[in-house]
Amino acid sequence: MAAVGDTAQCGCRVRKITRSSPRIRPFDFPDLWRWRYLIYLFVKRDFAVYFQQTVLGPLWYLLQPLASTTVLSIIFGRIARLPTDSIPPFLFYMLGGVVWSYFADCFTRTSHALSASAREFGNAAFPRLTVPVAAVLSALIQFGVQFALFLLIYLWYMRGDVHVSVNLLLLLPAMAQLALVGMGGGMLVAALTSKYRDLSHLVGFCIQLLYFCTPLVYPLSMVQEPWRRLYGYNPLTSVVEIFRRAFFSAASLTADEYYIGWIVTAAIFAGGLVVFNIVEKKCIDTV
Amino acid sequence: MSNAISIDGVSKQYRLGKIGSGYLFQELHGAVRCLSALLSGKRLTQTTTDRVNALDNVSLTVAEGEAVGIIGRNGSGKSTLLKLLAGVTLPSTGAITTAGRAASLLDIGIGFQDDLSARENIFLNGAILGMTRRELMHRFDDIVSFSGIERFIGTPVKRFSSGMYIRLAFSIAIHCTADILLIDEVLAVADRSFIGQCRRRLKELSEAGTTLLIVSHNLPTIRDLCSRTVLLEGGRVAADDETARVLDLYRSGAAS
Repeated sequence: MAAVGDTAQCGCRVRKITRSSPRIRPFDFPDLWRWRYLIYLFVKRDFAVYFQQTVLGPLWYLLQPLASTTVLSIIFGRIARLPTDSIPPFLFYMLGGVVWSYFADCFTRTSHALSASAREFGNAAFPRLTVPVAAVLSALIQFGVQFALFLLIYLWYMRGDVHVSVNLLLLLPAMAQLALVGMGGGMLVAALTSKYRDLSHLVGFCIQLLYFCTPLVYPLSMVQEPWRRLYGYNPLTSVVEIFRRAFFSAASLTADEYYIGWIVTAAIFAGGLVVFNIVEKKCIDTV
Repeated sequence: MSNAISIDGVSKQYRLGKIGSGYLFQELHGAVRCLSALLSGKRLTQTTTDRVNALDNVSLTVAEGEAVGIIGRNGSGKSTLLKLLAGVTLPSTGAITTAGRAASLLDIGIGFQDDLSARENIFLNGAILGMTRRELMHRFDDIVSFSGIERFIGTPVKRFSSGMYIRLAFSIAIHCTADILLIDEVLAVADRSFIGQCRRRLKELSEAGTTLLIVSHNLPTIRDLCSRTVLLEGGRVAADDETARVLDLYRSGAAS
């Protein structure tokens, strides 16, 4: 709720509320910036709650990718014998897993934004977008730890064979893309499930399918036409391939696929913002 | 003196029944009905039976620095009015204009996280209410000493008794820097001494020029703090006058 933020910061501004007054302003980022302290506290809360009363604490972040990577290496590397673009299999599966888990984390956290904060939304007028933004930032902590683990294993594996490539620069936009897709998709789902609860079952199922439709446990080079064309529309495809290119100079992503990935990303994020903004206005009355 | 709040012909409609559990099918059904009405040239008459006016054409102005009580039976629209003023929900018709920063205390302990300590929750709750980091730092000691829970400041609030919880939550809200303070029946559960403490604090704020809007069933609180009182009945303003007169009217109405 943009108008409230205005009044909160600058003394005595006059605010007018009517049925149509908070015009849909999904791109009100200055407002969000003014509320950055709240976002910071939300992130801090997520972090503190996650580790409260746990035995292993942050170790969970490390155990999870190690265990799943081991299983994937055995099933897809040893048993199914899928190629990995000549990337060491353990690193191949681990990189895919780390990238995917950041996306999935952003997505699930954001998709619960409306229902989990219903009480706060119903009783205080802070900008609603703070919640999904905080979710994406909280997910970054887990990603950071897992990515650091990947880097350690990578350096150990590739001893002497590490060459720093300019493609590393592409990692930053790829991370942003991952966050935007996760947040955008999550906001779409949050908006839909606030009205139709049963959609949340569908969503869990669709995410599972998306996992297999993204070249995570197999390389994109394996995918032939006519399927290859469809893969371009999955923005996660280009993110995964960018990561592989940066670390192993091995990827078959074309420039066209990269741009299409970004167009789809922008569409998902913009759509998510607009729908989320429409629904959060009403959901106080309907949830 | 200028108006802190002016409410102009505000109504708020709610649909009755199961809104959250609506099926897609019902939505489609409604859409088809709309379409067919459009096609046949009839004006779609909104079925009034499944709608309720929580507020019905309410107009009010509150001057800067005034303390106004709002009373009425359950369901008379008091809380809806405050929610609209806080900007949490939007009016169906009409306009609300507020001048200055409004802080709302519609529910206590919003954003409280049971696992976090009282200290952390003060910051979280204060930030949700719109306080900046600097304001919170500045007022932290006041908030803690007002609540009287100094010893438990590092304790997770899930171990708090409900009384301590309310004291903490109310202390945060009452230290909000705001020009307009909206308070919705949150003191009901606190003990007598704390209510007295809160009343004194509200009185100080009021004397310092903060505009107060207090919803309460506790008539002594209203009499103590508010010079003027609005009585709501079925979503309409039934009386708007000096507190003593409105309270008499309300009591005689309640007796009959």
